[in-house]
Amino acid sequence: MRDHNGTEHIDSREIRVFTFNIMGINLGIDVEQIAGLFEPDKVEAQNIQTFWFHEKISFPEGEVAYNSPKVLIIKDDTSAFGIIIDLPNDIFIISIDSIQPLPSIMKSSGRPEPIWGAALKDEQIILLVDAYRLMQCETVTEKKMIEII
Amino acid sequence: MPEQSAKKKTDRILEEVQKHIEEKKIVDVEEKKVKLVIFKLGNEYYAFLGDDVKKVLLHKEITYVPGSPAFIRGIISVSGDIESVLNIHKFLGLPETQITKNTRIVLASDGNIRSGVMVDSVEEVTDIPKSAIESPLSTFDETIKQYITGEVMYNHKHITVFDIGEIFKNITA
Repeated sequence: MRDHNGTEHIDSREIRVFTFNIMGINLGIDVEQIAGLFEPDKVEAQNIQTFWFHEKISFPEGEVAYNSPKVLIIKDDTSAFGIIIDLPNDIFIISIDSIQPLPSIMKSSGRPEPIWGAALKDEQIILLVDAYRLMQCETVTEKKMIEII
Repeated sequence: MPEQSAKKKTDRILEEVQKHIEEKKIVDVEEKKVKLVIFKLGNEYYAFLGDDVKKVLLHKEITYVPGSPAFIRGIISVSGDIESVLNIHKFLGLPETQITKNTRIVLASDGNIRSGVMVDSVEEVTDIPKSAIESPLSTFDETIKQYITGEVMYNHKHITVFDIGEIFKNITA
């Protein structure tokens, strides 16, 4: 529902999700976790800690290519950090009732996973990412080094 | 007199034969049958117990979930429900195969756990006597053997029957 200023309001059982796409996978982050979206060169000058999305969570073997990288600045009280994502798409309003947890077979580790659920939008699956949990993940290369050791 | 004795003997044998036929009929009627969903992985035939299979789906687009183990292909939507898809080749250490028009996703469940399992083709769904399923041979690789509930010969094919519950239990342990 929009007010006279054109602002769209959501009710308590809905979330606004910013969506993007990396390697053909539709991903979404709750807009409440996002402070802004910038070109990478704009962020470099501001001394903001950034990381590529795929550095924090493993993708299938092979190169992860970005076609149109952008930096999502995440809201944080202590320090600003940014996630480099690809192909920003749109902001959708998703009903909480339509969000499904990942199947139990994928949650065997017991630790809080950065991908916390999935929602269907126009028959497409959007994977919902918690930016704060993603930030807490070790980088994939660090993880591999620990496994080797 | 010997003729009469011989006749009695014939009657007795016939009675026994008849009795045996009747007993066999009872056994045939009472023999428990199980449903098998027979599928192929590579050139080998395998099966899940029909009670564990909810649906057999045509291959559809699978959304890879970053960070998931290599034996999880991703997730799919089945009538609005999100289901995982297991890469059983990788899980069992079998050579990976190409996706073809025969590729199917078998949606299986055990207790509270449910997942799709991608197989190279589904060959048949059939009922067989439970007694036809024999204990697995000791020649199986130990990694695979723990997931096998038995083996059966069906239409001259050697079929290995998986226990989907054991597979799920190992993944979620």
